[in-house]
Amino acid sequence: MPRDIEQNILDESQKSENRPIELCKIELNRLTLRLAHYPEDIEFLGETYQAASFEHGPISYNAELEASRTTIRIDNVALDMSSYIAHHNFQGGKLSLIKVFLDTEDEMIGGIESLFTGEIDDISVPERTVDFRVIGKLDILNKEVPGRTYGPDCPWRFGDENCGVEISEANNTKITGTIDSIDPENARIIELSEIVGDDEDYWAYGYIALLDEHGNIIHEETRTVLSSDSDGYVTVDMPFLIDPVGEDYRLIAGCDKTYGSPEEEEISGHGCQFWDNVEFFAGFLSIPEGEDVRT
Amino acid sequence: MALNSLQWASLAWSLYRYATRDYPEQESPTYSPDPLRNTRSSSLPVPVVYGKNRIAGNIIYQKTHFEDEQAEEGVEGVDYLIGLCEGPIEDIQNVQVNNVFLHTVEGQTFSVKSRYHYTTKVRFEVTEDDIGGYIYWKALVGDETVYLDLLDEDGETKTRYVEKSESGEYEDSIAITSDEVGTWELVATIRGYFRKGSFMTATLWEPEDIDQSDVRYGYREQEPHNLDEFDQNFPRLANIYVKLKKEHFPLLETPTVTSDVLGKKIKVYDYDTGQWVEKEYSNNPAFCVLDMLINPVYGLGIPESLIDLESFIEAGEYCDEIKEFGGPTKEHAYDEKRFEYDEILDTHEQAKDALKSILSTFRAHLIPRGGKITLKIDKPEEPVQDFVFDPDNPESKDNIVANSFSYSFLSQKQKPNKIIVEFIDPDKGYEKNTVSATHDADIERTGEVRKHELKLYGVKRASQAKREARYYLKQIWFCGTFSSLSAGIDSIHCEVGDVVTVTHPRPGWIGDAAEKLFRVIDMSERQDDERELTLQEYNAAIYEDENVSYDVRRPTVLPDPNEPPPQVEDETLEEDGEIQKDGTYVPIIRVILTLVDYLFYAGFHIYTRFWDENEEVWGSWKYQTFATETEYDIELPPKTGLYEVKTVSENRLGIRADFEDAPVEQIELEGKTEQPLPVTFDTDRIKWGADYIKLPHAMAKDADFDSYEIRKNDDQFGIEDEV
Repeated sequence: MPRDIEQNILDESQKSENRPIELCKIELNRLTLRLAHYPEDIEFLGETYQAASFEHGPISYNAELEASRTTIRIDNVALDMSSYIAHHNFQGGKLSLIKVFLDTEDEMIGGIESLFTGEIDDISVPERTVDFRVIGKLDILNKEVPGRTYGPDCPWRFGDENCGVEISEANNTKITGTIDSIDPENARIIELSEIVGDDEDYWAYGYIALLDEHGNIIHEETRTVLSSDSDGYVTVDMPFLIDPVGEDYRLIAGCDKTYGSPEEEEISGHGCQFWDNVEFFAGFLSIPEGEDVRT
Repeated sequence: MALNSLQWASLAWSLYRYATRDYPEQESPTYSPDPLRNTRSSSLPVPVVYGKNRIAGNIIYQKTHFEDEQAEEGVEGVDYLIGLCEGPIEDIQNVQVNNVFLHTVEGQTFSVKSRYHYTTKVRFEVTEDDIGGYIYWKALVGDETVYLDLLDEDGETKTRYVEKSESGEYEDSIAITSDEVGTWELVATIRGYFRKGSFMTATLWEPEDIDQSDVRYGYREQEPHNLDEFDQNFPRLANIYVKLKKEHFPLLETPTVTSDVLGKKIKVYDYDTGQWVEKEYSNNPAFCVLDMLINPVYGLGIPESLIDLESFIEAGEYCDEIKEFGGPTKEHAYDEKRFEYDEILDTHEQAKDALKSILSTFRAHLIPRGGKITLKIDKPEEPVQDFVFDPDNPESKDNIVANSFSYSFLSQKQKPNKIIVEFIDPDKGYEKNTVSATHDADIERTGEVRKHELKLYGVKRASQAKREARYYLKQIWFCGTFSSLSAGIDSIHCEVGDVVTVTHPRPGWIGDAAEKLFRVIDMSERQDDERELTLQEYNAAIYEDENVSYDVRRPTVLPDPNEPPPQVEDETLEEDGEIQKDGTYVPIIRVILTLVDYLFYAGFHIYTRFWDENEEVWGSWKYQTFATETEYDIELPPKTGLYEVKTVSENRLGIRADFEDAPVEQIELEGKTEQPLPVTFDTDRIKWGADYIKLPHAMAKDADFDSYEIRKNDDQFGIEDEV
């Protein structure tokens, strides 16, 4: 199956006077960098790509089920990239390489070719450059399968279609609000007035995430809830990187992957018994030990 | 950058190493060199089963029954709940314990299918107590016709409820009302349910029984087994519950329980309706790959938006194509699907390795195209682009970068001239078997056999295995030229997997007749706006894989110990008797059996019944004994009359021949017929009185002596006058 390409691009690209230009777009949670490998800024699809110096390694495509990956080296002589890296988390960010074509009048020819899109995996900062290693979408082929084992813990992700517990505000498993305060003595203790009155540790094993202006979760500002109380305080595993007071948040309940103790009359644990969901518990608690039939 | 010859060789080898998956055999409960056995592990993965396979499974619950439950002494039996694989699956068949089919064992309710058909005729009674329940029946119709009849008093058909003569599998239930009370007869080649030790083809079920069977197919919502004291549902796990008793199986060593599983229901494309179907059983390898890619539980959970579904539809259709591909001989080739995939994925491994095991069964590759994962089968195709370097031709539109072209050949010494494909053979009890393809001319020329073994455990058909052996051999010998070239940006309208032509003067590939066909196997893009392509020679003839012959396993003349033993050929009955010390005469029936030639006889169950002259009916069969010799005496109560004797043979695995068909012989027992010893008179001491006669005599020595009878010597000797 031949790859489709617009004829005008094909024609223009074959003119000796025209040279393709590569663009690099890095999308982070609260920052998008647009760079053009060209002496001047370039307007493309209504956005400005700043003149920059960068290069990338070869991009390989084959049938060996290897994840496509490449390296991007961006000039850092003026330390501008170092500054970005100091204030933003680039790991996990989306990086796209785009090829466009300019004519002799520096006018954009309509059409692009996406060379590569991937996720920034690691970053190194030598003396004068910043190097990103970027891995394509197929990298999950290194994931181990089959995914489920005969272990005792429930393998379902809390709230997924196998678990069946509904994550919603109506079900009191999701809360959205604004962080009221943090404990001045312990930045891991956060006050959320929206959960006042909930049972102690109701939100344990869940997570809280800060939201950006669009209501999207900020990847690096997600913390696991260790405990909660009825006065509206939750304790998280690590303090946030930024001051969270006044920031919007989303709180999602969680479970400890256990069944609970059916022998006890009171609900125990924070798993299927707590969430009244034991029929969908998928751990294995009764695998016999040894070969002796009397065990 | 051109590759040196050593790199070329490595690259070429990697092509068919693609099909040589490094199975972690030592860790696989199914494919390890050890015999198949049940595990009890918390660390093993829940297997994924595609297509039809035999699996042992992981014991996830065990309950032991003791003679003395308090003291936990004397093991009576043991129950196992065995996890098989991820569900939902299509079916679980042919459950065996130590190679004995469980449906032949008392108290089990497992079904049998596949090769193990029985033609049988069974009668059963439906009583008033059964009203409100169901007759639940299943039948696999082969050459015969299935009938399910309600009989009248004479044993003739009163109402025919079922008649199926069209080949296929059928199942249904009949609600029991007062109209259904009576004697039923089912004649079928069947897939049956078995109870009470004998072969039953239809069983009466209470409505709730249908949900109480011993198999779970692995749906998210499924009931716990009623004997599991913890009420565990095990969502999405296909499992079976077996109840083993000590009289059937040795329990000190854990028996091995195996099941034939028709595996995962997956997302498939219905070519008739042109629609995707979310959950349907299939062993089409294209859809098995798709399932592994998209399933979030055991697979990769890749969103469908990142998958080129059209490429899977095209590949799936190619796999499903039915042609006369192979058979035992060219003359006996038969129609079959081009590619099928049946395998158990039961070890933790990287997804790309698991995918390779599927892809290698149908010559396929996963290729990133346009930001999506595309499935591409190595099959005949038309070229999509020309790569040209022809400086002597001013009309030529050259697009190969100058000095970037090179070509190479696979090392002669590295080319195997014999490809052996190891596959799993259901006809050998799901054990490994091999087929091969050889380049006889090269073996003859070099005097050397250079073999290479491919493990294709996802292949279950000898014909498919043979075709793959031939394909890989031909690929090595007829696609052994490799090329590397760089081209400008116009090369971007071909992609990995496409077929292209190359025109270049250095190897003499000039002109339409000499242009060389290649397949793109690797493509690397550099920042200087050039792409480096790696190409392998393309030859459409290697995909020709019809009329593949292979040797089939010759059927053994030895009997199958898992089949019921043959009935005895003949039985002869003789009357005998013995007088016991107290004088009681005990009649004996001597049963003399004539056997057919069979290796596995363990003995014979002998039953008798008596003809009631008053009622003029036969009594019920009474179990007498288990005889291990061909001549056996049956002691009976001192009752003369007409008897029938039935002999049911049993083999060493405890499997009995059909009771209904067992031979029956009759014998009329006369009892003791010998006359008592004559009376001995002491004639010298006989005295005659006026009204008496004194007859001194010796007492009778017969142990069963009762009394004398004395008669006068008149004309008739007939007037009784006892003394």
